[in-house]
Amino acid sequence: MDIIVLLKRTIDAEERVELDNNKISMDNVEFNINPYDEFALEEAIRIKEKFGGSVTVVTASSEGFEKEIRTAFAMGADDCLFIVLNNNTPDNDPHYLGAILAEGIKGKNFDLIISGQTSIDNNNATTPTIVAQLLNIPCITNVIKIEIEEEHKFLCHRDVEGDIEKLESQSPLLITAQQGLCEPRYPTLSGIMKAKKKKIEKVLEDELAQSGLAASVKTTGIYLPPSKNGGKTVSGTPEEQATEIFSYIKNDAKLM
Amino acid sequence: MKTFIVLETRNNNLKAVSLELICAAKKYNDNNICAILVNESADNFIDDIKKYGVNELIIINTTEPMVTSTNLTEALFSLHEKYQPNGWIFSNTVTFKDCATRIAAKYKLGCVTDVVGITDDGLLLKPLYSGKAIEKKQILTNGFVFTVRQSCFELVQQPSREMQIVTEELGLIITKIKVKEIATKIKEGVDLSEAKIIVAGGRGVKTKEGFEVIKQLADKLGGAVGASRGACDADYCDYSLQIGQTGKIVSPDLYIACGISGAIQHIAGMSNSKHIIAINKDPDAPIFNISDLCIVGDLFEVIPILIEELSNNS
Ligand SMILES: Cc1cc2nc3c(=O)[nH]c(=O)nc-3n(C[C@H](O)[C@H](O)[C@H](O)COP(=O)(O)OP(=O)(O)OC[C@H]3O[C@@H](n4cnc5c(N)ncnc54)[C@H](O)[C@@H]3O)c2cc1C
Ligand SMILES: Nc1ncnc2c1ncn2[C@@H]1O[C@H](COP(=O)(O)O)[C@@H](O)[C@H]1O
Repeated sequence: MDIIVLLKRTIDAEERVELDNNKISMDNVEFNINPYDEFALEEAIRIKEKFGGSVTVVTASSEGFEKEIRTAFAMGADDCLFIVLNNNTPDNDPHYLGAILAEGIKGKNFDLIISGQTSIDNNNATTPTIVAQLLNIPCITNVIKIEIEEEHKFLCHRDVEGDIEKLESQSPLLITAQQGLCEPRYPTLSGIMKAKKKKIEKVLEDELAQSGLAASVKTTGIYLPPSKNGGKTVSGTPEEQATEIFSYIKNDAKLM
Repeated sequence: MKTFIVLETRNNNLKAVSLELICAAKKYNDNNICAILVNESADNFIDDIKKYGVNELIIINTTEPMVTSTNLTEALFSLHEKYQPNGWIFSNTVTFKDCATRIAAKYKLGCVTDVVGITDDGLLLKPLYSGKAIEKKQILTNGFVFTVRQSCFELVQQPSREMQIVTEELGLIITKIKVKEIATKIKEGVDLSEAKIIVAGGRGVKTKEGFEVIKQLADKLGGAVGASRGACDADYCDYSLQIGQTGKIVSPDLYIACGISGAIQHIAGMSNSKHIIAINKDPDAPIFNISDLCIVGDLFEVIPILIEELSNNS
């Protein structure tokens, strides 16, 4: 089974966010593979290990994404298509990115695409649906379990805020990974060694952007929400603490 | 120019977020607002939606035995093609976010998910990085789609409008995706997504029995029970109670976090709460950074006394 994994990098979830010139500052921050994409990659590798085939990572990013791609290779990805974005690409625009990604994927053979459910930076949860639409394939989002009873037939368990939907579809298909699908492995030493030799295929955004492709949304500003530093700390005895909560609910929150 | 909003109901009653959608539509562009209701009767709330100013109600009746976002979207596609609305507004739940993005994808409409506010000049406010920043977004395409986080739009009544009611019959929907089974969890007590007060437990409750203390406090306050991923993974409670990036996003008036450390993925789902109280043994727990009242203590000592005080005062 040939599987494509949509992988993007995001700044680490724990990073502090600071503004610089009306943009999120990317100086001195730690980057990682978007955690939901890591679930997608792990699942793809597991399916490949069971059924054979290949795992190809597809990513659209500005230059400098090598470290995370090497990690993906070390985990077990075979190939990577790196779509190099211009510096002025609308990079938080699901329609624009989705169109570029879909164009890149069109040149590949695949049975299955797995992506993350959402990216933790912009939290759009929109790009995969757009990719699936442009490739004219079905899309099942928020998947926490994939059962493959026979090749090319997938029974996906979707997490719908705790309820479970079991949906079946045939390949080609796009699935988005939700937390719970699997636990990503750590790369092994031999994986890391092999990863160094694997080649990254690069293509420029301009070669994929079809004429007439325009931005669908625009960010006109960014601000940090007011921080809540004034929280009142109560140590004291449990009785005092309980009374303090009681009084807060009644007098501050006015919910009694 | 029409704006379509899709009403969300629970047991034939309107969820509060449905009214918020009407108000969001008004704030975005006071349009001809058309509300859509799927497979339900509007008898219980027809006056309510009129009060908030809806011009038209379309009730879709399908013979679908099970409604999921997959077949729901197909039904909405057919409405889109028939009525050609200018835009769509949904609530930001898993099901409706799925519908929203599919409609956006199919009709090439600019799409913004998880909107928490709209500026006076029509820009959509959307949290980034788990709420650490907020961006102002403008949709550039002719039509639009956005999803609205619940409890973020103030309800403002409007003079009643004349409301037209239309019924659309749809047969079985055929898609490449077959619905095999839906396992719905039985939800007791107050609906988490609608609750004004949420008491949430984390790994700090230690056992399933420990989680009962959380439920008792929620009951006493007339609130709903929530949980961290930690509590769900440890099987103290069901995943349907999970709050955060993976689970539900909530914005109640009061959130009481008990034995929850405050990982960023949890905070992503609740930092918008109006008032936050945290009970945690660890004075350095990150949850305290976003709390209004920080109780450094043992939840098993504090909560029973609080429950007693609440009982004495009711
Ligand atoms: C991709 C991804 C998505 C995620 N999505 C979510 C999500 O949606 N929601 C979510 O919640 N998490 C999510 N997580 C997990 C998150 O990172 C944390 O692991 C999780 O929130 C921790 O749960 P917790 O606070 O209950 O447990 P812990 O971090 O173990 O904290 C337990 C706390 O209880 C306190 N405590 C212990 N005993 C007592 C006592 N007797 N009285 C008072 N306090 C006590 C401790 O001091 C500690 O602070 C996600 C993680 C990843 C990687
Ligand atoms: N630039 C990108 N390159 C590759 N995959 C992406 C990119 N942007 C988004 N994706 C995929 O789409 C998923 C959802 O992203 P988003 O719509 O941004 O929340 C991510 O988890 C990725 O799998």
